[in-house]
Amino acid sequence: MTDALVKSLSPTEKKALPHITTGQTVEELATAASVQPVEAMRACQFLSNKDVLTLEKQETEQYVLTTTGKDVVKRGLPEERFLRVLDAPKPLKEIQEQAGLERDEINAAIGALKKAGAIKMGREVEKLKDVSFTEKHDALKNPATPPKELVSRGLLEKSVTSTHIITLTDTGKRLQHADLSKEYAERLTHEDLKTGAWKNKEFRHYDVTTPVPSVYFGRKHFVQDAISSIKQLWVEMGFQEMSGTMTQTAFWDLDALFVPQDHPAREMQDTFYLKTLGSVPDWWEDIKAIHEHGADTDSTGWQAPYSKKEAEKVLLRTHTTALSAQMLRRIKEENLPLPAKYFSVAKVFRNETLDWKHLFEFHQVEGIVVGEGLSLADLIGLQKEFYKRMGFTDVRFRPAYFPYVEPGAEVEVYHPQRRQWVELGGMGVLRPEVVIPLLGKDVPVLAWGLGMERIITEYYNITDLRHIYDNDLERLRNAPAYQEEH
Amino acid sequence: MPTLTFQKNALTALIENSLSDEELREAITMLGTDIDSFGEEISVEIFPNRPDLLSVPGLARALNTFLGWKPMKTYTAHKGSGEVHVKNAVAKVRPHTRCCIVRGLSLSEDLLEHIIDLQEKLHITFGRNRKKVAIGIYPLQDITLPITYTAKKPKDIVFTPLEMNKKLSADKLLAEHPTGKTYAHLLEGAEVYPVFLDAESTVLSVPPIINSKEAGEVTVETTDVFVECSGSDGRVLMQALNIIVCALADLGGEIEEMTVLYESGEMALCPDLRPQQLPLDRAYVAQRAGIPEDAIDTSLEKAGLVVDTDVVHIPPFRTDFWHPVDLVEEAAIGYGYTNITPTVPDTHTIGGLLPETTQETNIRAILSGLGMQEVMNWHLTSRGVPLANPLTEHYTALRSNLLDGVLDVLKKNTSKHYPQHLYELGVVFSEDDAAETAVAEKRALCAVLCGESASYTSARQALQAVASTHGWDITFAPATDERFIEGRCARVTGDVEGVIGEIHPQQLVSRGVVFPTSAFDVRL
Repeated sequence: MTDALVKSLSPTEKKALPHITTGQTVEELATAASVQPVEAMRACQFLSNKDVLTLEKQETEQYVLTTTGKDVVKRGLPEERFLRVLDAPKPLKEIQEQAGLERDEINAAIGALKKAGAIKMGREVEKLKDVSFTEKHDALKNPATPPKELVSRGLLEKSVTSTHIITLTDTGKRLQHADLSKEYAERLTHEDLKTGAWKNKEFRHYDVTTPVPSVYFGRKHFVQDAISSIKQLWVEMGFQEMSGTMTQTAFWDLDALFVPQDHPAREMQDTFYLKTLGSVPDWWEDIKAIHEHGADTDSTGWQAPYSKKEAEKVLLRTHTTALSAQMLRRIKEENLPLPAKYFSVAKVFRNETLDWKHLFEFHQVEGIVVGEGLSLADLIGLQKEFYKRMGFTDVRFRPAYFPYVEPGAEVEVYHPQRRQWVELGGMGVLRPEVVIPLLGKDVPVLAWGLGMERIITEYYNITDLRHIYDNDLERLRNAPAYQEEH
Repeated sequence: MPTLTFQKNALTALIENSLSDEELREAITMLGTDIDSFGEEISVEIFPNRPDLLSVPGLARALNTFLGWKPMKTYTAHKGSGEVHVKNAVAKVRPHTRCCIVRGLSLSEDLLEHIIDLQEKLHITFGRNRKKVAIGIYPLQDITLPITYTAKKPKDIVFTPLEMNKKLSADKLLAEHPTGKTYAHLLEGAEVYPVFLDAESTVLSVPPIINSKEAGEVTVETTDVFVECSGSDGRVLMQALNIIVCALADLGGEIEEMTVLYESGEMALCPDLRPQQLPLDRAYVAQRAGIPEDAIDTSLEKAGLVVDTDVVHIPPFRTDFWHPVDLVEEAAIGYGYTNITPTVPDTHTIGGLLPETTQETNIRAILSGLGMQEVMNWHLTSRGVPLANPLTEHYTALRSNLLDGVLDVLKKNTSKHYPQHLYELGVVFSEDDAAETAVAEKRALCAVLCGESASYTSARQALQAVASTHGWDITFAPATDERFIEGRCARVTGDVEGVIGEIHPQQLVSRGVVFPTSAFDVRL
């Protein structure tokens, strides 16, 4: 056993070992072994891990001079300097100037001298008797148990020093008698390998159990990990990714989705508008007709005037359903095959104050399935599959209203800790008023979406949504790897 | 979204049979409302397409049909001779009104409160904060028919508004009355204000602001009321009137017709309780909802509709039917969403990512491989393409570059371990008339190296690592940019465009950063 120990001794440990005695402080060992105190401490810690010795921390309190205290030792106490210039009665101001005393020093001086009965205050200050300051100076120089006054005047302060006392164990005692003459190499070098010298070398054994410092490594933002993972899920389910611009005209973000032009959500308090105006496609009047009277669908429309100016307003997209609308139009214009499935994971914007539960920019996860014969039952089935892959098995669907779907629903998941149903996302079948002008025919389009940030917070142990994007390097560097639960 | 808050027993008093708490909770949820809180007091969120549910009696009515306890009744109105005359004067300011009478009410404190609450909620939501619809209800006994709806110069309208103790002329209304101040914007700058007068020229109200005391207030003793709705769209006003009077009818009232006669010749017989009719194609509804065809009729009835062979009658207080597809949702709700058997569609499609996504994954891998940490900044910042309605002074524009944001990340992390090698991959914005939104969006890549060894060389090595693996052809030319140290900055051109160099100490010091930094910021 000692043999294994000997093989594991580092050069510093070997240097210190012969000088170790029970009862020694680490500082004393350092001196005896001619090493730096910090090296001696490190060696002792390694040896302690190997049960060669034990260390006992000892703390001693003592009083030391403060900076002010050191100044006083050099220049004298304020009362000393005060009295020194009082060779004759003088006004206070003169004394202050001559003795070079600060305001707080003056007060301290007066206090001390009055207490000693050494001065008489008045328009001129008069010395009554001389005072000896040797006692105070002695106390300052040897502050074993100093008078309270010197501490309260800030001249002395308590300082705690700690040291470690070494006690050799039996193993340690045996080790001191072992033969330490054999050299064990610290490193295998390039030279060793080139020259073959390695053949004659034995290497020091490491304590492989000791922890090593962490290293900082490059990585993606943890949100990107979550996004990749979610996109992968969609691809596995046969969905094609779609994308689009963040700025959109009200035409695409709202009008094409049959959101009436006087809908409250379009107002300034919910949506970010830009100062510029955009342009609408040349078939914009198809949407106008839908809004005003339902055009050639069997709809009544909104029966309210439709304004082109309103449609041209530019906003930051409030949902990625705008991209789904554009995708439907692309299917028609490029004659893309049906049935089709598309998805996106992209940022949307809401005009809300940033707080722990709300972000003004966040990611929405959205999917659509376009195909003949699809029904609400299919949508529910797809949802169950989708949410199961995201790790939610206990989901239910509650009727809900969105202007662009009918039927519509909100998806809730059962939260076992909070013991309640928590809303996760929305879903529905796009209305014919939306589908017909974009796709050209009334084919069912199943659509659903959810906000991404809320669902990843539990995984990353985040309760304040703002922390997701605060770019705190500690959080980013220490985030766990993202793993889907299946 | 509007919330309806009420005592549980106020609701259960109006439902036909008793329910356990669990059953009640489930029924309310599956009707299509979201429960905020459930206890002795219940709070539910009502979706904007169901203003008829904005009162306890309305909700009770829906629950009674949903649970199959009470079929939807037909609402009718008695013939009446009452008239409301609409003068041309009001055409420019608040052109339309729909009115009628309800007799034989027997109100209690609770029931009266339900009605007032419904009126207020309709104002806020359906009425778009009184702009589209404002409703007035008056005790009939204190007013003389016919009613005139006209507009007069504000100082010619003198009355005692509710909540005030003195008479004033309407020109002071917007400035002095609390409700006047809230809704001042609806009448701002108008030369004439709308006003309801009875046959004795008593001012009944100045819509959409306030009723007068002279018109009298509805109390628990009131049995007959005059109801008016005013606004800009006759069709919407009729819907609002229907919702109110059907609620009053549910409380025992008898609806009596009035004729609204416009000076221009237009005429409206109110209320119009004729149910909207939608053709019923059972096969279509069954297929779309995913429910059996033979369950359709019962399901629609549970949703509160009336089925008459191949036509569905929509009750007059419903405002959410535009297309036969609306019957699909009703049938599904009536059947119960939880009862629908989920199916997985038989569509076989191949999935895939966009090329940009794959490219971005590759770029991230290269830079992460170089030991760099990705960061993500907001698209909104304080400089760039301006927003028209920013919320705070920090987020007023769309960013035009990534570098500013990534340098600011350094500012937030001065106490963390160095070196800090960061990158961001994101979208930047610029004004561009050729774009559909007049804003061009481009993807950009920015890397910032902050630490003892940061230099132009290390920044360029990172950029070249990405460029070479992606086949980008790029050139570097000397450039001046005040963010960089003079003589240590280059313009990047070619397959990507941007800037690269050693960051100027001023940029670092102003952010509290005390390590040399180099960076590049290029648009892809």
